[in-house]
Amino acid sequence: MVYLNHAATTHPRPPEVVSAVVAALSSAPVHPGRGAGGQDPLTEARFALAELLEVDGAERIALLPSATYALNLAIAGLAPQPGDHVVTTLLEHNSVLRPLAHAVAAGRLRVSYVSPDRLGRVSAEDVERALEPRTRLVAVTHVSNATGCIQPIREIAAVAAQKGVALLVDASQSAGVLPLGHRTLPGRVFVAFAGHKSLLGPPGIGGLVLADDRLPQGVVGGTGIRSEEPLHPPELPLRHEAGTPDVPAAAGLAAGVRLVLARGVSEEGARRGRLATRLRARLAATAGVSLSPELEPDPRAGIVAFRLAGWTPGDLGDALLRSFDIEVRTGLHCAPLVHAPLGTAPLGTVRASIGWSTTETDIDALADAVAALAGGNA
Amino acid sequence: MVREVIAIRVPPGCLRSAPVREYELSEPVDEALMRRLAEGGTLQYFPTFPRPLFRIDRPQEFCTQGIVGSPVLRVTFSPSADAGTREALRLALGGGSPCGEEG
Repeated sequence: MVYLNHAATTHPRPPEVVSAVVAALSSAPVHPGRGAGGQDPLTEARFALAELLEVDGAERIALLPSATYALNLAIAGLAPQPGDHVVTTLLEHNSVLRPLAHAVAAGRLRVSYVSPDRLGRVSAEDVERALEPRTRLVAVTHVSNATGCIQPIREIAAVAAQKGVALLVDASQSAGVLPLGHRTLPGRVFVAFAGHKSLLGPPGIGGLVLADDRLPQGVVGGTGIRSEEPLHPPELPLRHEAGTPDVPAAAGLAAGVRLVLARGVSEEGARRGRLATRLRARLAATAGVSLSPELEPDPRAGIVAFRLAGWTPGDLGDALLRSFDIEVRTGLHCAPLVHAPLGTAPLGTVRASIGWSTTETDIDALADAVAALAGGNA
Repeated sequence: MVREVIAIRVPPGCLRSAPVREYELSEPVDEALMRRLAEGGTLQYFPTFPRPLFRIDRPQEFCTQGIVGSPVLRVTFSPSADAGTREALRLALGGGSPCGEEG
């Protein structure tokens, strides 16, 4: 199979990651914080992530079940009061849109949505214009999972910082591909990440980079330390981690992040950018193909969205899989609001997403298949 | 063995409300069935593809696509398709009492 759905989850997992998970499952249980012992996989993962995301202090990395969990935790804690206002964008994944929509439906929050331009980018100026006196949070994705467009989070962070508003960055698609530079971002910046995409880890683990120790706790419970105290420990990172941790997932994530560090984030982004540019050029030369967005000046995220005249995205994806054994993603990609401004509503697009294992051969296989299907339309 | 529909499913990634269904047959689709289904519509057939793909468009009824040699068809019903359209398709595919999602 040609797998071009890495934005959903990476496949195959690198052997080092599989080995780390198996080793963690096969060896004597580790009880982080609950007994004697040296470095545990959670701590290893935290230190590797802090290095990768350029975070001051591994204790600022809370390991959680997913990016969705992290985003829910942050949104609930950063805009907690009735009447609070949040600025977000039409680019967001449902893991941001739905927590906000639920809070709006409950009458607790008001939300403003910033629209992207024709290149799929929001501007810091538009974010600034959307801020209100009661704005408590700006929530923006680093990379649109639907288009691959990279958002100007440094400029947006500056705008939020100037107004004293917290920024929540969804780095689900960018972590492991683009430098984040958390310590150099101005203001109070939280970053949610998924472990199973470009960080190469297993599913079931993600996390939240914490700007400070003031985010209200969500789930509380057992931590393995200070069991005599009635309240959950307030210090980082245990503040946000309750229950038996997923040690095998953390071991796999630590192995994945170490691989990412060894390969080099900037180098990986450049490599994916070259492959995405190759694919975009091939598709653009194919009759009937329209790219979304049409231009992509910064292709490092390695996501290429397109449609083919005469085909619904679903039918095209089905044909690619069944006839050519090529897996892509079709439809709205869990980002339902981005398609109207980009002209791809209501059916969405076909999305090809490049990962650590993608080669030029894979790219050419997809381009050849789309050309063959387009030729059938002529 | 007589060909019949054994299951009708909502495809992975599709909403129940979407007018798209997967039909699974008891026997693989062959060229004869493909051409019968295409009567009254237009057929696109790609026999040289790695797995031979076909698409059939029956305006006002449905579009379907599949692989010759595979028992699974993807069907997208037209907005004007009704229960009669679905029943006619079921009979054209050999009848049967499929399990799963009919709607």
